[in-house]
Amino acid sequence: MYGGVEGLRYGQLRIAAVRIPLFLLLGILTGVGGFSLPVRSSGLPRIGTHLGQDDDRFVSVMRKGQSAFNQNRLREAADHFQEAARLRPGSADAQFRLGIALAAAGRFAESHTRLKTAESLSPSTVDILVARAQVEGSLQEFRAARQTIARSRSLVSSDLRLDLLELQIDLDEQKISQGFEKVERISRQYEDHAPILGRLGSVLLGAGYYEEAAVRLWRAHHLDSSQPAYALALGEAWLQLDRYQETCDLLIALRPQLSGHPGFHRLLTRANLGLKDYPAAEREIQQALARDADNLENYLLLGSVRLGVGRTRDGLSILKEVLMAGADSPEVHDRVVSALVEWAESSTAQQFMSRLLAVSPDHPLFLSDLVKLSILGGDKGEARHYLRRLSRLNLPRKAIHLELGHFLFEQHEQDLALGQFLRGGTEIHSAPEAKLELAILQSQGGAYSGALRHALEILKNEAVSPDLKGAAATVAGISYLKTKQKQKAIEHLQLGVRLAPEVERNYLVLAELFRDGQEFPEAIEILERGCEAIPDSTDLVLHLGRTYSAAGDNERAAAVLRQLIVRNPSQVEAYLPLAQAYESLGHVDKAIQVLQARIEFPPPDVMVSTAMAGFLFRKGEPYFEKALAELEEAEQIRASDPDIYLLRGRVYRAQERYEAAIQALYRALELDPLSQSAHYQLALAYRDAGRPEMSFRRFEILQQLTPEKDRSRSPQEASPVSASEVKARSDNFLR
Amino acid sequence: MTQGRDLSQLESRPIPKALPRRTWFSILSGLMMAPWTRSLRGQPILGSTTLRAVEGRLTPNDLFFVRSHFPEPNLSLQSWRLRIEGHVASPFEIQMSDLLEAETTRLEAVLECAGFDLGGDNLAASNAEWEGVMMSDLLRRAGVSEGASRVLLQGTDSGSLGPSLPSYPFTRIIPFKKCMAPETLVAFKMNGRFLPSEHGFPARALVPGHYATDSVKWLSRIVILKEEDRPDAFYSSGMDRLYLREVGTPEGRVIRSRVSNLLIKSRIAAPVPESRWPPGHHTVWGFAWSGASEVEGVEVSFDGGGTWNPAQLDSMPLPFTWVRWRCAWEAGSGQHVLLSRAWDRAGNRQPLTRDPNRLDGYELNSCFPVKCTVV
Repeated sequence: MYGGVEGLRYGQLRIAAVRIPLFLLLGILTGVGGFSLPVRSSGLPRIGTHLGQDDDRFVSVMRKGQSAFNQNRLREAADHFQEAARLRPGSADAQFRLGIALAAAGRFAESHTRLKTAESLSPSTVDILVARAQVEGSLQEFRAARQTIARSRSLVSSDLRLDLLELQIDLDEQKISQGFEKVERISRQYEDHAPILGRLGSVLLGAGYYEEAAVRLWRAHHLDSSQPAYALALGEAWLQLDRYQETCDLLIALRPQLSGHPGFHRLLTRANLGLKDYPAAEREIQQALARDADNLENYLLLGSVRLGVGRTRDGLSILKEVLMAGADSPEVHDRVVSALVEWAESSTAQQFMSRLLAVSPDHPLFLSDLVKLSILGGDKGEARHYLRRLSRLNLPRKAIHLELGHFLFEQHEQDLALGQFLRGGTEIHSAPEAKLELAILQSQGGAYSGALRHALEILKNEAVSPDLKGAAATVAGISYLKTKQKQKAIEHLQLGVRLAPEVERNYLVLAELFRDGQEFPEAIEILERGCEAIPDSTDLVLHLGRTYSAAGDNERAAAVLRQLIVRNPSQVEAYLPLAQAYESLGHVDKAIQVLQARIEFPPPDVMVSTAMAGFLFRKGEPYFEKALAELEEAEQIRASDPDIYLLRGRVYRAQERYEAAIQALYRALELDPLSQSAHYQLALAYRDAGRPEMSFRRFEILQQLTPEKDRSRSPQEASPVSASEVKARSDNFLR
Repeated sequence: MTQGRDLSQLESRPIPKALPRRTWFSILSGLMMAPWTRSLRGQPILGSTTLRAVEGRLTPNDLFFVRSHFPEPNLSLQSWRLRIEGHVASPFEIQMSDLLEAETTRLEAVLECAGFDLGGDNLAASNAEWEGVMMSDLLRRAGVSEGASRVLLQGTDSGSLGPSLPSYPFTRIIPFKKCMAPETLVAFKMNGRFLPSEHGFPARALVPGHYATDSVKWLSRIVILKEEDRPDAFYSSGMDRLYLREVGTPEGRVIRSRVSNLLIKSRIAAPVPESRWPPGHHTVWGFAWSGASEVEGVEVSFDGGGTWNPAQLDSMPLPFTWVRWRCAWEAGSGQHVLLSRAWDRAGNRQPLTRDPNRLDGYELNSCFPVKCTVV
């Protein structure tokens, strides 16, 4: 599968979850999703009722609008309903349907105006209020949506649609636990009630909780297999989870019952596309077309099938028609771009989109599509070009920038993503996920004060889910750490561990903080907790092993690192610390064996060869030549590593080859002039060579060296190290 | 090897303790030291860097020297705006997103304070890789009018340069031609990270080849000027009397001109002054840079300029950045005065001593002697 599809698909899901609850909107209000409403409101007149003879024109326009709407020709539908509203300005129905068509096209602000008008014309029509609440939710005006739901409840106290809308708002507002309490309550209360479980499943499906949706829809289907809607929705959930074969099996078993239903054939087409069975996909989509020749979705799938079988020109031509027909629908755009990327060469797709842009210059969605295609095609310059064109449009709604920001974030285009989030303006305040991504980008780029501000805002927002807060706590912790506020860093990273125990980074950063402060028990405790919470994490085990070693507990270090290597022999970073742990325990041979095993794996590591040489050196004189041979190997890997020459100097000195030792140690000093160990070894080499004056002077140099190779803004304040300290350190190095 | 000058000329510090003829302008530049040393948000803003700590060519951000004239403004990526105006057809304003979406340029460049040098390996010069948008792209977009000759760069930081002077934002005026040069940037990244706040977050001017004072931090306005324009922010604030080269003539006159181009300079990083070393093989190393052209060569003297030895350059010299050099030294017992001097491809040579006619404290590029003892 093309590398970028997942990103696009995720972007699409986010849209479904946050911005365009189209599935629910259509499902609840128009029955397109296949569910009839359990409680019908009384106020909404059907088309053609309560109308006089002289309203023939109005009725005709309304019917045309409804027909276009049913075929997903949303712009045309909206035009017809607009005309109807002009013909009868007092018609709540015309305003209502116009509002629905506009909402389905993603034009929520216009839709909201129409629905407000509809409500003023017919204040006791619950359908209008439900639609209005839905659109307010889509505009992320959650407070207004809840107020509208409250007005609806004053008209009908018990309406499951309102419960489901509230649930959806909970999920949109990231009140996940509150939302899932409702899900659980409804599931328990109606555990044997297929229609309600089906609708609940559809809400979860629309919000992007596919696993949860599939569970409810499977139950609904199990309870009432005669109702095709449950199977179709279940198939949809499974397709989103890439469970193509199961979807095929489910639907084929239901063919006698569902054959002829266009939605059924579309799902089977998609499942077969997933399985790359293009002939079967072609058969199914032709069936769907035979029954529903005007549906854009059918053509979208037909285009994908043609691209899949290699009929690229044909496929592109069909998709072009789809895009032109659904030019205002963000969902259509995302689907077409997904299809293009999945089935066509990215460059072909880009050329195709560029031609479309020539027809509709500066169409924001086309530009957004082209940004995505440019990035997926690896052409960042082109992406910048389209981003600049998009920014010149100065769009009043910034959601497109946030959505693009998320896409670019997923694609690791950090600067471009940051630019889009900044363009999101105040809208980012109602999009906690985007705000978190902005905070992450700022933190990664080193803009810690901005990162901190956004992360803390997320932490203060009660409506945000614990997962998101956990991630925000991590960003805050790291930002505090980078701005040298250690205590606050620890507090926030610990909060991150509590809120998001599955985030590995919190444990690692916290442990590093403790380790740097020589607080080994705390570091070990946090890493052990991490290993318990994330048993698969090799990084945590690796760090735990290293921390045991640093704390002097080489037995446990060796145990966990050995276990890690047994479990995952290619974990090359584990070999050296394991060998060092063995060596510290006095098992030099075992340490050498471990390093020999490591050498089997690429890439070669100069530290491994140097450590091997060090272990051989420790084994005594018979192994000195082998140690020197290992150092030759190390030099082949990286000749500029001063440790090679330092050790070589030590070996030569042990062999009483003092001049060679002095030469090697000078080479080490050339590469690292501040190496205290090299100066110390040089002092010893001079001493052994019978040049005590030189040896003494070398100790004097050691005294002048500062403890760290660090800058000093006030060098005169840097405290010199005493020769005894230096000697003690060097002795420690020599062991 | 070349013959050098008398060692006794090198004994004085590069900054004279008392200027022979102090003018009002040089007093003003002395006053400037006060805000430099003020603490902002509890952090000192007078920070130099030790060359010894620089590994490779780039100075890490937290080691990069810091100089600020006024308190650091509190800016964010969201709030920052840059206005391009003056003698242009279409003035406009950009925000951070515009920079992030634009084509960017990355280059290495040395920044050096025009008037601060503690001597030894401790000085206000650092080298970083910068990323930003070419200033010329922004100026072209604005449509610069005929006759534009200079550009005023204004920062968000503001204050008064002296007790009797009004408060104004920090400004510099640089030649229009330099702004149009491909190396002049509106920079927003430093060594791959956003600029730290003390280095001009979120964006600063970067004028490679000029002393750092022209690389205005916290950049907020770019104003295109014609020769006759005299913007208040520069002329009434006293900025026009800062960073002036003052040369005394035999007739007693003082000739003043603006300090801008970064002069050729080299500096020894190791050994440090007043250190003691054993006889034998040592490596003397340091950095060399020039604003006018690439460094062509460096030579080192171990005897106070008596004889000179060629140093080895660690990498190909590039324009605007510095080059690391080293020179092997077989040290014999005794007192030694080490010197380094560089020259560039434009024919500029680092002077051994400070021009005795200079009355100001800027452009301190003469050789700095490093005395050490070998016993």
